Amino acid sequence: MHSFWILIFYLTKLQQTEKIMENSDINRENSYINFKIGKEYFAISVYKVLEIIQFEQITQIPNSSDFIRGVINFRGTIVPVIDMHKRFNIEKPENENRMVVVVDMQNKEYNVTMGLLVDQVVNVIEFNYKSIRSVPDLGIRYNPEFLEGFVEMDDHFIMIMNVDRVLSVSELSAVDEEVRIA
Amino acid sequence: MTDEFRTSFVEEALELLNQLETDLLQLEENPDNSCIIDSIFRIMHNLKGNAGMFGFEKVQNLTHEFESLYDRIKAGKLKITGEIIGVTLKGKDLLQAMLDNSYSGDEDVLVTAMLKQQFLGEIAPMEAATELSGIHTSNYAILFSPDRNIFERGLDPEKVLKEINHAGNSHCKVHEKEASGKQKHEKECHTKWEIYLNTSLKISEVEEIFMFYDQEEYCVFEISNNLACLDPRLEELITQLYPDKTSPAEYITEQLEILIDNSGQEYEKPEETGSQSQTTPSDVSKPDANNNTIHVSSLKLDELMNLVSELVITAASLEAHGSQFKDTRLNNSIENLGKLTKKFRNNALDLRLIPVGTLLNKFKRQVRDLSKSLGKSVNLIIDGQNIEIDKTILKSIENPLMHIIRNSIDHGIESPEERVQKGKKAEGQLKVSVFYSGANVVIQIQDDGRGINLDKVRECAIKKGYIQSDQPTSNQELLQLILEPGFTTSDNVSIVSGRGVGMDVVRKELNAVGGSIEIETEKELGTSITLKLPTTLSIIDTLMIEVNNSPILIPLLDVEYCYKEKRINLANQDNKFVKYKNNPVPFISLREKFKYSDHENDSEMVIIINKFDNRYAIIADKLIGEHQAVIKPLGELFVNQPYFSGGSIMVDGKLALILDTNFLFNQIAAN
Repeated sequence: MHSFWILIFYLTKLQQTEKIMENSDINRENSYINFKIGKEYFAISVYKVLEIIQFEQITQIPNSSDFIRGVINFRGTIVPVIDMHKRFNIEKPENENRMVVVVDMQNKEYNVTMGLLVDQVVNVIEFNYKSIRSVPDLGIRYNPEFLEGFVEMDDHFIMIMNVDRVLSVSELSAVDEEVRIA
Repeated sequence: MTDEFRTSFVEEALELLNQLETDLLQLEENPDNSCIIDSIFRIMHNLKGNAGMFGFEKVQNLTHEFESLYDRIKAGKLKITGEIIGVTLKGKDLLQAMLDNSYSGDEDVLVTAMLKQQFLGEIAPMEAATELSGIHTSNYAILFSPDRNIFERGLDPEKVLKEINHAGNSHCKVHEKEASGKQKHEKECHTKWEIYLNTSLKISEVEEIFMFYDQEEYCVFEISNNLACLDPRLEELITQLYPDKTSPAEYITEQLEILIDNSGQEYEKPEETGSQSQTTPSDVSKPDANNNTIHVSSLKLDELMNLVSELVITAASLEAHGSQFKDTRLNNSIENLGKLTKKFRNNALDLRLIPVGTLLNKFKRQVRDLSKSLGKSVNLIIDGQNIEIDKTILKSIENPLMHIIRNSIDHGIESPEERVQKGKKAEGQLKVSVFYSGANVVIQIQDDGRGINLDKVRECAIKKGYIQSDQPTSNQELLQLILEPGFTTSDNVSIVSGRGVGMDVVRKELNAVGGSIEIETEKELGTSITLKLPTTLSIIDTLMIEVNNSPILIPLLDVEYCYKEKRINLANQDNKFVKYKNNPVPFISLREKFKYSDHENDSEMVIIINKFDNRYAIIADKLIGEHQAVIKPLGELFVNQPYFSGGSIMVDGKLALILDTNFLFNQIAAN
């Protein structure tokens, strides 16, 4: 089941790259990875995603931030895995069905690879930028800054994740002051 | 694309400049070594050519002048003097600044002008360092009209002219004295000379050349840059000589231009001088001898190291799985693969190692400049510069080393007068020795100066509240205080007058690469600072332990002893000490430290850690065995997390964390 979606993911990514090459029109359909954290649906652009892997072994790092589940060996480098339940303040389902979406985050300050620990990778969806609606400030449990907006699809809402914000290095690297000073 | 080439040119050029500096400092000791002169010439030539291609015009111009200068030296027309070396070193700095794009100003113009002016004559000895690079030249107009009977006085005007020629760049016009009616006599002098001279000599020194002549026989005028205010007497003389010229100032300008042109013709010598025979004196190491090197970007090396570490892991995992099959041929191949991988790994690691000398030679220059500016005489001895160390480590200790050396020269070594008074040699000695000690590289910096004033350190420590006034403190403890952050801010203590990097930063930077620092000092005998460094950062031997089912690695070098201990014996203690070799050793329980819940086992593993003869113990659940760890950084997210210095991938693809024994040690020491 998972490997099927992973295959689809790669095919879509390939297709998208070709699309970009032929036309960079803003109106085109964009591909997103759609995944679930708890009961909620989220999506991030395929361009940010390097790979989707099964969550198997993880090494915990004592005294690191609560959001960090641990580190994994991803293609020979150490990659931190962020617990999305903790980050979004969403309850963990009982049978943790775990997948790690490995994303590549690049901005002016950092070039970091991180893994997002999610419950289920659902599918790859396509939609137009124009269909993204802005998020109301009220009525969500987590920081509204974490979202770029949402789309409605198949009778449910899909939250578009603001990856750079969610994976803010300064927030995630913060540890108990006590530990650091001691 | 051009940018790429440009960057690689700059890199290469900077390396050449380093070589140049080394050469110059060698040349200073062996001024007659033609090999070094050749090497300097080649470097200048090489730089000139490439700089032109990449649009570094200023570099091109400056190197051109130096090339010409050294061409003349090669041809034997000039002799190496301290001034030439000084100027070239100055030039090297300017070139470096130009390549770094940190250059602004017009010092290069001054240097170029000075070089040009110096070309005709030998660079004359002169006063030490004035403004720029210590060399400043002026233009002189000289009228020399010796009396008729000078030959009878035993004087030879030729000699004067020769001397002037030596003093600097000159050009000369000969005038016949106006016929005085009398028959010209062979043994009489009927000539007078009009000489233009550019030299670094002062006017009084130029006048000294004429010391055997009477006042009336010569006049020397200094021509200032402002030609409008010429000496009226000079103006008068010129009008006398050339009644048809309208403006004496214009005429002088013309003459000075000739002076510069002259130097231009002089240096445009064809390359044939290069074919001079090369002799290699045996006492000086031949530059570049048999050192066939290629340049590889460190990124590529990192990539290679990554691949090698992957390979090591894969080979180990293959070995683990292969042994399940009872296939001799398969297992033989796997064994061979293992051996090859190990060799390959060692070779790859070796690529990252560079001789310490590459860094230490940079200090020669600094020591030379610093001691000169402080009016001290320091003899720098470097021992063991061929010892190799990881490039990353070497780079990270550059600033700490520089700081230590500066301290030694600035505060340690006394002024020559003071030294003589104390019965020491006037020349201070600074010895940097590098040697292997186990798997570590040790760098020792020793000076024979006045030592660190421990009384002052104590005074300051009391004032700052580090120790109580009645607290007895050993000298070693006091020296440790120097390394404390904040302690450096004191200006009472001579060794730590903050220069941007304090001694606490030195320690921090060393700790960051797994090194340590030790200070010893003896009043009036000197100070010795010892740095211990690992040879390489990327692969270390470790001991694998387990805490709460997660593997943790401890650098094997730090481990002194391991043993099992009943849990009750540890838990029932108030003061957290274990007994080791009849000494109490403080311990840290990792389980407790990492806030894991307690376990049920009735025994614990005690690992005695030895950090440069200071011991502490780590309590863990289990001992697993040795592991060769390829160290990987934990990354940005864990910069604030102090317990682990990195991670390593194990045979099964899982990650193990490498314990930072330095941090734990400091933590214990702080309590």
